[in-house]
Amino acid sequence: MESAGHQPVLIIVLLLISAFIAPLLYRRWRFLSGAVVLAALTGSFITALLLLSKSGASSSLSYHLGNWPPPWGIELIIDPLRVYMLLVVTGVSLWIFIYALGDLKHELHNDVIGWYYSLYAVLVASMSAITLTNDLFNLFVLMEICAITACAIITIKDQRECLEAGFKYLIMSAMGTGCFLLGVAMIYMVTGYLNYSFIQSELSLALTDYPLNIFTAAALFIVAFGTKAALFPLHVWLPDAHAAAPSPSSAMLSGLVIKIYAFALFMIFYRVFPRSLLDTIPLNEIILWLGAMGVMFGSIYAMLQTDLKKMLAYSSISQIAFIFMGIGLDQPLALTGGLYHIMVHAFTKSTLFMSAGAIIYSTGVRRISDLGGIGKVLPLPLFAFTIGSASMIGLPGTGGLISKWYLALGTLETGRILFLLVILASSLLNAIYYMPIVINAFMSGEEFKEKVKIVPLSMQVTLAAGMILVVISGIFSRQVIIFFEQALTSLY
Amino acid sequence: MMDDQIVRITSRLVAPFIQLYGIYIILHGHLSPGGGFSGGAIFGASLVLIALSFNLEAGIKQISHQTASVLESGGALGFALTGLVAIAFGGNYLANRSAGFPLGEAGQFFSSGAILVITVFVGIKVASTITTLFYNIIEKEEPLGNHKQTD
Amino acid sequence: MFYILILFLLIFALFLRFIVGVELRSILTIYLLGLIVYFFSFAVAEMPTFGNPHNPAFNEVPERYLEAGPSETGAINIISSVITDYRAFDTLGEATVLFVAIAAVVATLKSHRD
Repeated sequence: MESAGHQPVLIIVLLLISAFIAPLLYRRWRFLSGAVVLAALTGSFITALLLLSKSGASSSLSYHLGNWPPPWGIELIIDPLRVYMLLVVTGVSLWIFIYALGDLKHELHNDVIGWYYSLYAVLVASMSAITLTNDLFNLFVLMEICAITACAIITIKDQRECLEAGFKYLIMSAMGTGCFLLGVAMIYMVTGYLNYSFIQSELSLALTDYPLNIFTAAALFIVAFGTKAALFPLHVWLPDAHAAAPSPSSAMLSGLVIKIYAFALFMIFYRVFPRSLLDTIPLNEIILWLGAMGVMFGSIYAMLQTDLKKMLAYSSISQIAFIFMGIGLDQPLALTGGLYHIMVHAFTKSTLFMSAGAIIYSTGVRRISDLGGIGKVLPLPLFAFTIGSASMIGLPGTGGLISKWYLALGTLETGRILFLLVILASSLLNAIYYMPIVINAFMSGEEFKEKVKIVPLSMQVTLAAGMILVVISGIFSRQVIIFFEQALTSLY
Repeated sequence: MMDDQIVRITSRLVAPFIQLYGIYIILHGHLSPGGGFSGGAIFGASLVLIALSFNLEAGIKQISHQTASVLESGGALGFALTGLVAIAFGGNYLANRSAGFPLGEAGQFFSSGAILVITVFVGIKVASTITTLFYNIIEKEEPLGNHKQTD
Repeated sequence: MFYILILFLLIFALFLRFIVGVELRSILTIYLLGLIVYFFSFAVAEMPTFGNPHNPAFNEVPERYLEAGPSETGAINIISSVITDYRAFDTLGEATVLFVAIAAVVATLKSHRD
């Protein structure tokens, strides 16, 4: 493993520094504080692109913080899968931030926007650090930051339900963080290391001496990440939190924050737990069943909603469960599907929440039944919504098809037809609750009566970019799939 | 808040000593038990004591909102920049000896290079965090000080 | 023995439900928590003995912290040398947690003040 230069840590530090100075700048020069965070996000995205060209598809680089070698110090690792996740995190958050610049003035008080920028930058910094870190305790600290910022960007909105939803989310994710800390303590106790790679080699020995402790730790990890990523029975906080939040926050939370925990669980399964542990206890099987249940129940709940954003939030529960199914099937093709779905769903759900945000911005309508004929007055947001719905259902030409296709191939490869049926049924259910909105918006005869404000340019540009991203992820998927194939060979 | 002569006089007498003790704990973080977190908490507690025994205005006179938020950001910023200085000196992020910070003789006050700097920044950060948090939570409905132009 | 335990738990549940008047939901919660405690106690019993020098946690990691700490970091307080030098990135994270906590509280209180 060679050294990586300073890029990986610079991504994190750049964002943190911009977050620290944004509230100070906001007192004097309001415009500048947004510009600083925007510059930091752009810088981190460009740095992530540089890292991609540096690491290639198979090599892995490591960075020792403070020049201390791994078991003593903290290590950051750049390998293909992490670089992929880093690109998704920095890219999507940059895109959502541009949208937020237009939307926030209408959703928040004027004096708290500077704090919002700051919280946003810290959130992105913690998420990029979660993808890069190779140390369990460091992961815990970063999860803490991520949990607090994620709550804060909900409660920052001046509405009662935001406080309630944010508080619920805070309690649930504090419980998740607590479970994770307990698990880390148990793992440290039986292995003596915190570094992923050292734990992995030590854990297969410790499995003979302390099996119950390791099983307990694994159970705690599943509960911790399940809570934070809204895996099926632990999803109760998600609909309220994602529906009540300001639209850029909803896009961020649904698009990235829940996925970062799914990715962290993936890393724990394949980089911390040795193969012998996954073979001894059916961890993957548990994740698979919970994921399948989440896919079904999320879709069914979503059908029953009357509020647009709440429907999208329930749909997130079913979509995040696809990623967990990819991990649960424990098979390269399914993992490809699951990992690709991280990106596709980040694009798609962010686009959907942004178009919902644009609809609310310009008309104030949230009820699904009031959206009849709105396509004629707001063509761009509704067109973006249509493309997003198509990707959710998995129509050809959109990214949703590719990820579901590979997941389906994975189920066939392992011979588990039941889960293939689950994927198909969920697509059908998605069609049942997304299509009526689109049809009603464009083809219903009724006139849209509410007053309509013009959508700001930054929101229009990001919505258009969202449509393009969803379509690109559906058409030019080959490169990414090949990239995954090479990257995943190291796991099996 | 409290209208009691004994409490006021005692806390006015005690507060400077508490602050001195906090600074001592912060500065001797690399030599004795304590460090930035505990020392900062002690220092912050002295300001909370003043605000509690007199009133909020007396506390804000000691450290205004403006100063508190500058210290707030400044502490964290200083910590992050100390790490960047290590990169400029040729080490990795947050490196100490390998970036060429002078370590000095172990046990002396001026020793341990970046550790002392980082401890001071963490102390500032924690002290300002405790006071800001306290002021913000006990503030009443009507805006105070430089909050007047808001809402 | 096992069946007697099950029988006892069942009768106890019925007692709680109909004599004391506890809700079914609460009874289920208590029993579920009891089950979790039951399984956790096995894990606790299996833990390495506290303070035993042959425990897995006493490996080369704390050894280097203790022996080379003062000469490598210049701080004779080993805790300081670990939290602000060997693992300083975690401490940066903790400082960020404090910053974020303030940001969250200030922002939330400011926007909900009126």
